[in-house]
Amino acid sequence: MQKFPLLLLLTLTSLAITSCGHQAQNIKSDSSAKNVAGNFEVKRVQFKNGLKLLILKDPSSPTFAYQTWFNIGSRNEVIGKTGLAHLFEHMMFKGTKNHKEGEFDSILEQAGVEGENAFTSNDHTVYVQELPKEHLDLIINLESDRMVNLLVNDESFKTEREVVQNERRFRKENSAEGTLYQTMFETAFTESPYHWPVIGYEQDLNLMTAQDARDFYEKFYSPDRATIVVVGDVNENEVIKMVEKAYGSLQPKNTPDGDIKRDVEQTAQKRKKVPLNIQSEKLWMAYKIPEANHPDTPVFEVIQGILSDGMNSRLNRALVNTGIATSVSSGSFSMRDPGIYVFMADLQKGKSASLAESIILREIEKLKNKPITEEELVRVKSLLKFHFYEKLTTASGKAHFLGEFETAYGNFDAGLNLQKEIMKVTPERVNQVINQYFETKKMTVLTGVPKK
Amino acid sequence: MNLLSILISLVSTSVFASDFSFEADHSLPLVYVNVVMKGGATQDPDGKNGVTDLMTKLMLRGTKQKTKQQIDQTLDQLGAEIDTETRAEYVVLRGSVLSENIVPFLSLLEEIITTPSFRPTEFEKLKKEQISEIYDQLNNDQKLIRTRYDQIFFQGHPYSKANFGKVKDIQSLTASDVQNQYKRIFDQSRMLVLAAGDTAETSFKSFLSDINQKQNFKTSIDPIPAFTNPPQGLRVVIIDKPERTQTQIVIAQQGTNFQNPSLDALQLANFAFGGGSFLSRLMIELRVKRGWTYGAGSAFKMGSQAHTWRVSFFPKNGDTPPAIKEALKLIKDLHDHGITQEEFDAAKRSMVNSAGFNYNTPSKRIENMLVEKIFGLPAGYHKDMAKRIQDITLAEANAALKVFIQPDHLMVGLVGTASISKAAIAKELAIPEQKIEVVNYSF
Repeated sequence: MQKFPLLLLLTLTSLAITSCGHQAQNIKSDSSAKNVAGNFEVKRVQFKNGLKLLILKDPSSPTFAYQTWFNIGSRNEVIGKTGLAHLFEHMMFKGTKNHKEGEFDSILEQAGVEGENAFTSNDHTVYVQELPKEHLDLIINLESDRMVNLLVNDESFKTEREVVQNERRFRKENSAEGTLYQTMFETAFTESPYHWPVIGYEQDLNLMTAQDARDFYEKFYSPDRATIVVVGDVNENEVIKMVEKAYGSLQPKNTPDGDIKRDVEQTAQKRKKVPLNIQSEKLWMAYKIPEANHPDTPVFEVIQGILSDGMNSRLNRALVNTGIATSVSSGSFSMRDPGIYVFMADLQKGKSASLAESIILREIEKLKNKPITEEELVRVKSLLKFHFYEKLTTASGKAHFLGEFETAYGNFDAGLNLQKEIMKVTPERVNQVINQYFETKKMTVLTGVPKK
Repeated sequence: MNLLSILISLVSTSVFASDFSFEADHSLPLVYVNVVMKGGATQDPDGKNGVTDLMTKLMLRGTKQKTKQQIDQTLDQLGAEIDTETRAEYVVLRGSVLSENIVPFLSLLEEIITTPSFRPTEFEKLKKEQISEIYDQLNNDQKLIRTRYDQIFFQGHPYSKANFGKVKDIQSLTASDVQNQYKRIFDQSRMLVLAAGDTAETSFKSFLSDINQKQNFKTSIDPIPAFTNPPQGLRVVIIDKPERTQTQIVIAQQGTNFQNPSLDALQLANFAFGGGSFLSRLMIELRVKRGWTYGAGSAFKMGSQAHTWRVSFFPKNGDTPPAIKEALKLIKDLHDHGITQEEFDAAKRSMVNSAGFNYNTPSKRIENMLVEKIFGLPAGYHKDMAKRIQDITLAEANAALKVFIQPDHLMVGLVGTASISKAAIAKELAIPEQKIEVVNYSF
């Protein structure tokens, strides 16, 4: 993990540039604006309590997106309490010491909120809103309030637990893709918390109590685990002042992640047949890859481009154009700890997953044995550039990009560097990385088959 | 970035037979181009459901000058994508490209529109893919309920046709069916070209001119008749799928169209009842108080003719019967008593204050324009919604509900396992079990 040296570096840097004056009394570091893409520039501030703030000014609409990224996910759970991070995310919409249950939603909805929501992943929990620009102060006060003043009521908890069970039935139990997704993580990972589903297991959720939620909140929710991202028609200095006023006095908890296990190296192939209510077979294959903040990450992006991005990608030509599969995709689940690179193919009726597997392996072997051409690399880089800009077309898209990289890598710059590094990837690097990680004897294979 | 650096201009012109609108937006180096044709899946002839969708997809699989692979390769090299979308009453070719490549991109798009080759080999491959995709959609209960519900509710009417078609119909389609449909649909007098992004309007000059010269069909599409056979009484249909632990439920009645003068009042009342708010009546009653469902909502599905007004939610098997009963009670209560002053005020404030988000990006503005032009709405219909909502009174909203809501003429459709749910639903609703229809989930 490179987290410790990175944090140390930030601390030393901030000592040198801490600003003076009343407005900046809680500010630890304050970087000058940096261009992200097109006309967009981002300002980054870190407060003394550890809270980070990113501001991207975009006056194209009199609105703004506001996202709060917490460095908390299902990886912070323990066996027997799976699904707690996500269930707790639901509880964040309940009452606080200052607002009774329902008020949070009511105030925001009447202010004209758009896309009010939240999501939990293995590594993060994120709360998102978009609002008309005059309501910046409102959301800052509401979000800072629920960061420290939440009340978890026993009755509300029980009802919300049932809502989450219904969400689990919807996303996993009654979904072929959801079942395969869960099975892939359960099979590929054995030690790391990534092996249990973010939404949790039915039996764990049934036994979970409101006290578990209160303990989780006390332990993890604090400014030092949060990054606020504001994108829209805002004044940077006003945002900083308002955030400082609302969050500046909140105390950090500096709760360590604790002993989060990492998987031992996979040394043998793992295979599972998953009977599903489906009409034609499905194939999921995975290889272990390093953590997101690793120098090989840009190469995996290029590999994804070569193999499955665009209808002219190698796997689309080999599987879809030939009438074997209806669709094929691949990509890295690039996470804080080592993740997986997954291939997914939906077979045409009557075609077997084993045929698709042999073709994917054949294409991987080709990449291992023969470097890609410059022409193919140009094709991939054009597409990746296009996708990068596509992610940034909305305020919430820009906020997501910034929040994700700031939380996963410790600095949003990593997202920009990733784009630069992608453009530098050579055929030799592709060849080297695919040989290093895509070992047939270390892969995990799931075959989704129709139930008899 | 300062405000002056953003140049936003909206241009609409009808110099060409096709209707063209362009909005400059230089914030990112991307350009979006939507080519829209009036006439969607509802124009599929009987027994040929799926022909419009196949026709649109096949257009991307070869022109007289380029093979499918050459088209795919060109798109990738330009940093571009073209997707197709078939809706009930229109089809869209949605293109996007890095702005530095707008000229070759438009040249390719023009070629795709004016000289599709409809090669028989690609057609046969596409048919197989489409059939497999339909089978794949059966795996998703939420998609399944949407499609199967409309097939059953609108039986015999063009709105019953699935946008992506029916397996049986697709199997018997021929390449000439697709070519005939192309000639029928792609009359440039019904074409809209809606674009936005980091370029100038002049970039489109030769594109429009070439289409104008080359695309010269004079055809007509069938008007969609009004649906005259909505449910009489309460109809319950189980779309039977094995081993479900949860049901996907839609309860609907015949809807309304854009010409209804009470539509805004109904939209406001619907927002309070179940239109997207976490504090809507449906969410409070079904999710917050009882924990029966993760999501619950109500919405109007709009078309040139009245489509449906529908309530949807997804409880576990055991909660399905009481949840249906409660939803029916809530619909009746909405008809009988309307919404409260508090609900009305909250809904109005929320709709008015959030109205800006309906048109805050170029792609949303393009989408609004598309709907306005396809359904003959006045320009700015979406942008002006807040003003219209502001003027509505509680009495108007409740009067509109009283006329519109038909609590005694609803169809309850659910994807679930009949052997688990049928008897329990009949008992809860106090109806004979044989009154509940059971149909297979496959189609």
